[in-house]
This record gives sequence, C-alpha cells and structure tokens, in this order.
Amino acid sequence: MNAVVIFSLSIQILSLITGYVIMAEYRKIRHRRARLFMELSQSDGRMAARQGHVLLWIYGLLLAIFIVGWPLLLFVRS
Amino acid sequence: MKTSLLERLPWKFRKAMPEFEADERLLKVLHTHWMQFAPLLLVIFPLSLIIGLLVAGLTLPASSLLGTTSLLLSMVVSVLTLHWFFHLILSISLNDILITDRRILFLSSKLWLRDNMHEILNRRINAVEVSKKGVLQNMLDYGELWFDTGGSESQDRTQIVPYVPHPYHWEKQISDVIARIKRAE
Repeated sequence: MNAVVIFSLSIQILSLITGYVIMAEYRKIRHRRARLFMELSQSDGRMAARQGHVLLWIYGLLLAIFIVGWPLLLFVRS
Repeated sequence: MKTSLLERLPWKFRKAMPEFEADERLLKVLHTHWMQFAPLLLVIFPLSLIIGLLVAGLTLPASSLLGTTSLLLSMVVSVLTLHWFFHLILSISLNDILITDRRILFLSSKLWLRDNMHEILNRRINAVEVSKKGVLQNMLDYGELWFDTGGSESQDRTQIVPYVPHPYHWEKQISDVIARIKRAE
C-alpha cells in the first residue's frame, strides 16, 4: 500500500506545481491587462487587476481538497 | 508615500503593449460572448468516468488490486479534469475586445500556449462586416466582426474578432467612429 500512497503523493505534488504555474500565468496576464486599461482610460486599473480572483480562489480551494483528500482516502481505505 | 498600482506593476509588461497616443480615449471594453464557455459542458464525460471509477474502487474490497487501480485511475482523471477545466475557463476569461478612438485591440490568450494581440488601426479600416452563422448565433445574438483594411480577406483570421456580443450594434458604433475620423481628415 505504501507504493500506492507514494504514487498518489507524487501525482498530487505534480498537480500542485501545475496549478501554481497556471495561476501565476493568469495573474501575469491579468496584471498586463490592468496596465493596458489604466494607460487607456487614465483610471486606476484596480478592478481589472482583481478580475478573476473568485475563479482563482475556487481553483485553489479545489486543488487543496484534491491534494489532501485523495491520499487520505487511499490511506483510510487501506 | 502610497504608490499607484501602475507603478507597482512589473516593468516587463510595458514591452508587450502598443504605443498609445496621449489623447487616445478608451470607448468600450467588450468581453466576448458567454457561448465561448460551451466546451466546458464536456466536463460531464470525465465527471461520469470519475464517479464510476470511484464507486467501483470503494465497493470492491480494500485488498483487491482492481479496487486500488480504480481509485488511482479516478484520482488521475479527476486531477487532469480539474486542471483542464480551470485552464480553459481562465483562458477564455482573458479574451477581451478594446475599442478606442484610434484602434481596436482583440486580446486572446490560452495560458502558456498562446498570447495574441491583434491591433487594427481605425484609420486603416475601410468597412466593418458582421457575420452571424447558424441558429445559435442568431438566437443568442453573437457573431464575428470582420475588418476590411484593404487587401485583407474575410478568411484572414487576424482581421476577424469572434464571439462579439450584439455584433450589429458594435458594427454601427465602430463605423460611426471611422466616419468621424474620415470627416476630420
């Protein structure tokens, strides 16, 4: 069963890295857009920069549940 | 002293931006039509697979190899589905159309795979055409805008902005801006 838990943990670590990379790229592009909106509209681009925050939170939350939940489920079942 | 958000953003973003004129005015920021999110409905297939594998894994005895394999497969599919789903939803939410009194910017991204910015100068536009194809586009009022810049073809994807909500309304607005520019010249 140890092999199963180790396999599951490696998948979760890879998943965590993937999630971080996707979120970081999204934030980078969102900030670039904010700069674009600000230069064009002379407003503060706070709103544009914050857009999509709820999505990121949901993504992060689900990722956390998966990362903790799956190895736990496998461990409890064994 | 409190710094503005503009000053705090990393300088490297400056490189990827067009040069705006000092008196350039933002007329409208359009988000592409929600029908773009339709492919997300495909999530139902991996979800049913995950549920099937999970039920099989939990009902079989803990010592059975099939049960463990089902659970591991269910885990892998669920993780892949989670990343696919959010990659798609975040990428689509980054598609924007900016209309200024000098240019039209169509920004589209697919995280890590594509980062496009099509810039069409208003003074170069000869005509704006609308294309609405199929029942869905007509029912839900969205379509494509094609900017004829002289010599461009309607098949040229760089001159086409897809998933524009209320395309006839925006065609009129853009045509009015172009007419004003041409009168001023």
